[in-house]
Amino acid sequence: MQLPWFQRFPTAEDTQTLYNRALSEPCPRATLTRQAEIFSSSIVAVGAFNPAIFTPDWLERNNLIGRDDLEDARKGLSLIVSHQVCAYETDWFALQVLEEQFSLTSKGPLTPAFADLAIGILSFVPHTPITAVGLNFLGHYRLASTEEYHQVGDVLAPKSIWVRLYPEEHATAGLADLTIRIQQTDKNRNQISGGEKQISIQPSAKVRYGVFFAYNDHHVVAPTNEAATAAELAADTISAYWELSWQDAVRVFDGVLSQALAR
Amino acid sequence: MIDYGRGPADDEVEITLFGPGFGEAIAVHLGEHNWLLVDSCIDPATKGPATHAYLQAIGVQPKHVKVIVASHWHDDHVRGISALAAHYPDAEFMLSAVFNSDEASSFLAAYGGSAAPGLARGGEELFSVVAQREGVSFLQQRFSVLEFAANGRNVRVSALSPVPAAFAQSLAHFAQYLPSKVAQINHAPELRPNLEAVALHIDFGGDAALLGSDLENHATFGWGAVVSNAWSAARPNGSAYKVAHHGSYSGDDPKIWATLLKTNPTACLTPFNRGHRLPSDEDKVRIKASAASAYLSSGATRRPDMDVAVLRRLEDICKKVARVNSGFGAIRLRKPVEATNWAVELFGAACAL
Amino acid sequence: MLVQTTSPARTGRNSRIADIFDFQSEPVAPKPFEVVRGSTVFSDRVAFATSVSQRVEKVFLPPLPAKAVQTPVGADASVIQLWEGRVLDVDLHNDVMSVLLSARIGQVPDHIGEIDLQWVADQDRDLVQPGAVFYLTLFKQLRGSSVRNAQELRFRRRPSWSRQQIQRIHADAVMIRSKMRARPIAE
Repeated sequence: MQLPWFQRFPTAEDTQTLYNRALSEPCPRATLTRQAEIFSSSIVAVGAFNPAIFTPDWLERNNLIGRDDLEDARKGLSLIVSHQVCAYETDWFALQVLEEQFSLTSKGPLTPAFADLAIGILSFVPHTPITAVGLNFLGHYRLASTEEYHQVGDVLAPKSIWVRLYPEEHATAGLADLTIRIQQTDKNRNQISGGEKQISIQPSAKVRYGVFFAYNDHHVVAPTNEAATAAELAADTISAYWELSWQDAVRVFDGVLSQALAR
Repeated sequence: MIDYGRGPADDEVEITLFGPGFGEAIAVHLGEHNWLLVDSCIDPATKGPATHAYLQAIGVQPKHVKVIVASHWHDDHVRGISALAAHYPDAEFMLSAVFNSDEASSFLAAYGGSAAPGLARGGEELFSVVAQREGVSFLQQRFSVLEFAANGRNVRVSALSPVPAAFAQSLAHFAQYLPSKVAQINHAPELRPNLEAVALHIDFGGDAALLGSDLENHATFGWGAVVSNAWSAARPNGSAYKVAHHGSYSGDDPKIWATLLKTNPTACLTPFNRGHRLPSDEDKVRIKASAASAYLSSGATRRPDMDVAVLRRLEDICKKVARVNSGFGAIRLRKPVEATNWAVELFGAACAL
Repeated sequence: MLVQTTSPARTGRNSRIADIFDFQSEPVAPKPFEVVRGSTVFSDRVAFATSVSQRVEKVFLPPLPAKAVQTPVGADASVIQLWEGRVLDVDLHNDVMSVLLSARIGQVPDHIGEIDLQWVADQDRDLVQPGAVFYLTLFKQLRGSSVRNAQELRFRRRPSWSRQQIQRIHADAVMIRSKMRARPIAE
């Protein structure tokens, strides 16, 4: 039986247990399930690309998009195709390929079809040398009040230090940007490939009294034999990890807000 | 959690059929702690294989499960079978002989292996078992599944299908969907009619039972070929029948009842709630006319089960929304090996047909 | 991390497309971004939440005739429910497909239903066949200060089988065959 995807992430409870132990106190949790006001994803690959290949027509010829998407992309304001850059968008994705970077960004409601598109594109360029793939998820969450909004900022970056340093009556201090890097290692403290994550938190520029999260799941692509090329490995990585990263991102975003608001 | 009560005594034989709205599994006690498992479905209470939950509940030790048969590769018959096989590592695993071919093994590798996950859950389950095991056995008409002595009688379980003539049809179907560089990755629909399923005959020694799997009727490749085969027709007639293909008309042949079964047997079946609903009202009338008593593993309502506001919005574009697995039930037929009549017990959402 | 360069084309520009003769270099577009090597983090710090199209317009002008400005498609959405759907059957006579819906959010059991083919985009019509997978999303779309309910049905598109996949399948098939054993014939 296929469990709902929220239940299929295998280590969420284990990770929470470890975290609790590390804190030596039960983790306070508000019972809530937050839904993002805006949620999107971006898949970024680093390597050596020939941008001129990735035209809308090429995508359509390879059945990666349909005719309507092709027309959207062709007529779009942002269509650029050259040897140095290829960029265009439809109503559900925006593609940008530079000589050293491939980036696919979702628009509108996020579905696994977005990851399928990235996988499909990379599958058609098997000889492209790719050195890393990043699975990014971005979310804007609305909070119920200014009090909650400030509470989140205060928990993550206490204002008290800054208020003491800038005690002037008309000076305010607040969290503008916080970035945390998570590096997972094995028991011998060696870095695990695919074990690097970077999570950033900012006030939301789109949602009033909102918090913006950005989650980056970075995977190094290093083929070890001739069985798979770098591009094929990159496609495999997206196939294997994108939904898991989506689940983890939502877990982290929800977890940060839950813990910050429960204090 | 369903309370299944006690397990069978050494000298009792038993056939227990499990079925939610989508899925089927059978546990057979052949006597003296010898168990045969056929197919697998999920118990919603445990979220694991229903047969395993049942055997644990009645105190059956893993070493007593002798054989697990995957009668075919379709989703509804193999959900959780890889977990089931892992629970009983000493049980021999058997599947249809069609997979002993280049076409079918490539098909299973393509749609069940790691190359392109998510194409066929049934395929993934079967592939997982084959990959885990050192060896698996294949079955076709007249192959022996199990043979031993229990309670002073010879117990024989044998396969009635697939018939060799059906292989070419199945392999041609599989070959259509084999991967190539010009072929798009897509889903492989199930072969219809189903000619590759393994139907089983169980000779308890004095009485017999027929497990029809999803085998469908066809004069040359399906039930028609089974009942007209001299060896099949010579099997002892069964007093219990797990009705083939969810009681559908396409899974029926009057000669099944006339040739392989005693008059007025006890019949049991699972529903099929995906797309076309089985058994239909006509199917129920036909089955009840041929059986002394007939039972359905799940007769629960299919009312939608989701947030009301979401359902209202969904119904703007999707009509006739119904829940697939609305109830889980089990039908247990049990009797002392020398007795004539089966004692029938119904659990969960199971009901009379 | 992407860092916007201060190209001449960008200086003082707003988001409207300017005359193509503003372009000082050769018709081929200059590289608009400086890419930090090895980083896969999306977007720059200043414009995390802005779309790619807006950023590209600010820094780079295509050597193409000016086009009519299109109304930008609303990109901000909040998913209420997402189903992975599978086509069970297609009734072309009644223009309807029977589907199985597996919810991806929350503990919602599988449901079946019928969807009129009018809900399938023209470009996806030839993908409608038994076994095909689609994603059905119910979502809220944010447009400025207004919110509207919307739904989207998108069929899954997958590429052709790759060389690597075919090799893997071949190896797996050999493995399967190597494990097969016949049972004895019953008496």
